[in-house]
Amino acid sequence: MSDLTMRNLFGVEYPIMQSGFRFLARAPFVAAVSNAGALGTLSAHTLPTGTALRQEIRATRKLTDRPFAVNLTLLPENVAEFPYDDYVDVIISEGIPVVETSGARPASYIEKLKRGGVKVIHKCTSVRHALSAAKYGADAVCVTGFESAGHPGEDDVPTLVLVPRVVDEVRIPVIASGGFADGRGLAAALSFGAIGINMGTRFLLTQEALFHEDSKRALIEFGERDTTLIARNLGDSVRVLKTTATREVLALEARGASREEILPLIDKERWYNALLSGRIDEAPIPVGAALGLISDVPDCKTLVQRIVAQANVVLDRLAAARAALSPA
Amino acid sequence: MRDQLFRTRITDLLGIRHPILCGGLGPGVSTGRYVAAVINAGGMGFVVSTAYEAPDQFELELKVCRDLIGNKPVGVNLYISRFAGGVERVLHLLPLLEKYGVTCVETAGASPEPVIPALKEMGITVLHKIPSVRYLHTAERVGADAVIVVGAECGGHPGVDQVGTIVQAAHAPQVSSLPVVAAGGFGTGRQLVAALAMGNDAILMGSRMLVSEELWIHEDYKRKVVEGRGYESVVVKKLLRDHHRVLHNESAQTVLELEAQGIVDFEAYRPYVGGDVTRAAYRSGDVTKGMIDYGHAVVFADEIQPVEKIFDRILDDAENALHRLHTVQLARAGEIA
Repeated sequence: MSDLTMRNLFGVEYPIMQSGFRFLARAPFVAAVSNAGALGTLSAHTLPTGTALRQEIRATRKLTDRPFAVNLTLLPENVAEFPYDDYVDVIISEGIPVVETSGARPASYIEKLKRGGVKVIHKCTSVRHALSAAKYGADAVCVTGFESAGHPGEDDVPTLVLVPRVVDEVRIPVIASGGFADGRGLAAALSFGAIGINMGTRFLLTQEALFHEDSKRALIEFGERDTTLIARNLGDSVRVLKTTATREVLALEARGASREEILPLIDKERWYNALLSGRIDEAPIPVGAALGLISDVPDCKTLVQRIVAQANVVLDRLAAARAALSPA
Repeated sequence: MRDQLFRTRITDLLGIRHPILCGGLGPGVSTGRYVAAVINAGGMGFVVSTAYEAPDQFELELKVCRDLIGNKPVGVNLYISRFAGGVERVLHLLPLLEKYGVTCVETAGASPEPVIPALKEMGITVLHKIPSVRYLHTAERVGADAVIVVGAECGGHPGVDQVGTIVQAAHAPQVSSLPVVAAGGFGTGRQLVAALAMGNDAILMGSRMLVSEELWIHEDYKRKVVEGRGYESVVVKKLLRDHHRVLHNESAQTVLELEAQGIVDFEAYRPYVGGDVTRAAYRSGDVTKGMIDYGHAVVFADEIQPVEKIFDRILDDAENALHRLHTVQLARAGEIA
């Protein structure tokens, strides 16, 4: 357990971080999150080159003078090739204060970023990967339980168990992720001993997220029972909304369809286009179980203020409940 | 017994010191001795009422429990089978509840509606266990006094929706008119504080307690739970819409294979899922066979200890979490320009 807070580690007002999801985590949106007092996070591998990332960082800076992070999702070369070394050079030379790494073999990137004066949060889904990240020199870990949108890992350990476990096992600060959407969740994460929360689905459903309003309106109608895991047989599970397209994928999987048959149906372009067009039924959309806690589309500032206010109420209530029992 | 750390609607409703409940463990695992230890530690336990070998065993367990707890309140787990005769079987047990001064029950399985009038008449508090927030209105409508909401991570029966506790425990108190007990994955005091922070009035544990000294199950199995990392479970019987989170042993593997073949005839499953097989496993400590309820919270069960010791650790951890929260300074809303 560490005394560090998200404020003194990363210079943010509130202990809340936004997931650096692909395609959507771009300049105006990220700036809106940071301007709200949370930690906005740009997605590096949304941009094709280091130069494009540099432009995106500068565009973000024009919109906010608050700190923001860059997400560096490390995919194996057989999946996709990205100019990771260029990204890292740009991140360092642009003076980005903190990077969130995720994915395979982060050691060399963590080392290089640290040498460049950049703080590193490594995002992972298990105790063993959190321990490795600490060994590689990460400043913090962001741990994601199986409630999370996208890739929650293959161990299926829920946030309620995983976060306290990681807090016990690692000596670096822990940010909790997977299933968080409100101030009660933030208070719960702080109770676990985490220094804050990371939210994906909740930030996705804000005014500033850049995709079709019809998609947002449709998404908030769904609840916590409306997500499922797909692609488990491919060894890389993805939590998605149960849409018509998702049901097709599940049916294919039940028939034992091959990787080649399934991959095109769950491709990132497909869900991104579905979000953009407002026709979410056309793809498996990555969203988390936090959907059950979401029923509106506020702007980022309203959202962050609401979460902090709610967490404060909860913390005050706990303090009061305790005080009522102690002799004066 | 530790001093009271939290007073909630559930501690008041059940007349207990700590908002910590220990769910009924089957088949015949939560016996009188174990439940008495839970109650004497300041929590609430539930003597299981079914799946004993001898017909008079339930009464014997109630007697053992009553002898050990004096006049304290005590609970019983009432499993209501969906099959014919389920309700009648439960109604048949009620005179025993009266005789031994049972004060509360946790109901699970089919709707408790047909048994609630009789329970109310006896002045018994009803906590209805549901696996998903969508069943909340049933619990409210039929007159339950509180609701236990179990998440996907619970050992035993997590329901078909598979929603994790971190979401349900935030969601249920928001929409429930009844006090909510959060369940599934709990085993530490910091989680207890988190549950209360989210608006729940208590937690309920199962898997965490498998290492209790007072449980009769074989020491070899308790040692296996101590070594367990939490993710050795698997959810079986999905095809039968009777989702069951159990240790991934030989029987569980066989059941998965039967499901993969699309077999829906229960008779094909009986040799692997019957209570007799499971009971034999708990007795011998050889848990390669049987349906062994097993949730993620076993990762917190790191030592075989008396129930009271386990409670003490949880309460100490809760106290530490409260101290930690006390030092958290969130900038008050509005302070940011």
